[in-house]
Amino acid sequence: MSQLFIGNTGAGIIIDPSPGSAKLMPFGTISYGKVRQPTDPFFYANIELQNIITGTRYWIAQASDLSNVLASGTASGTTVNLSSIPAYANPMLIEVRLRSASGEPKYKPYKTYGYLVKSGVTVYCAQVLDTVAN
Amino acid sequence: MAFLFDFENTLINVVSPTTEFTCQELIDAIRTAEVTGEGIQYSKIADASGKESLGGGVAVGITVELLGNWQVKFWEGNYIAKITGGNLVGGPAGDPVAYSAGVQTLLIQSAAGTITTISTGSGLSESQDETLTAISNNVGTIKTDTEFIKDIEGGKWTIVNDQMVFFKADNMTEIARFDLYDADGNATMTNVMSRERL
Repeated sequence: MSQLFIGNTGAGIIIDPSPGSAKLMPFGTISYGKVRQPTDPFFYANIELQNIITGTRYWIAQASDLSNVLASGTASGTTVNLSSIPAYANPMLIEVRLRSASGEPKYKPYKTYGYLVKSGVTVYCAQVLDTVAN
Repeated sequence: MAFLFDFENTLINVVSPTTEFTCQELIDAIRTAEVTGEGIQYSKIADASGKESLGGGVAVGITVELLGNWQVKFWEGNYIAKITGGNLVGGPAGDPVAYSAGVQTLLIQSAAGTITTISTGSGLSESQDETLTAISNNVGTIKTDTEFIKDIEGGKWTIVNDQMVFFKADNMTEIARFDLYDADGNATMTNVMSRERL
């Protein structure tokens, strides 16, 4: 009976021409590699938000699927650096929302977009003062 | 809290017993809700405009436009609800107020609404004038108390007939008189343990 053999350096079929004997018919060298699953990111990249008002709450999601939230938080300074953000398209359009109405002065809700590529994306923010809300 | 925000159903619920609110109060609450961790996950609730100065203490009135299907919903009951202080517009089919059983809503809108700051003659707004008046009253009280303390410390005092008497700096004008008592509560001039002002 023939049997399949897989070893560290090769693979083949062991042929049993007669009882008590064996003969390996090698396939050759087989290489093993990791296969990307459909749900895995294409790549990981960085996002930078510039000129953001300190204390602003930010929220970033994949524009084509807003349930896929990439990052969220509160800006501790005027620049926010986010690293190793997964991208599910190349390039991937992201939606950036900024809200700043907890302190003084207040700013209007702000939304913008950007394309995330392998080298990352820089979003320059231009929040507008809210002259109506107290 | 006058408002509760239902982001799933796009409703701004007015909480009992609130039956009236201004557009200013509404937009302030909306902006506060939008900035929360829950609020930022949804699109903004409203746009607002107005309050441009026209000079002379007059400003353009406020207009709050509810976006998408957002509506204001009053609590159910038999009463008249009022939305004042500006224009509230928007909502599904241009209806910014959702139906509530038993509630009649007065929504007064104006194409030329303005905000006028009432002058009190001092050149300040009404609220500023009230604040200044309160501060002035407190200063008067502080002055009176301070003068009393100064007189107590700076003038003559004497113990006579089981009483302690304080005078102003002129050593003639009496400002306070105390009965003196010993540890047993008996009137005394020698073993004084307490005093009570007359």
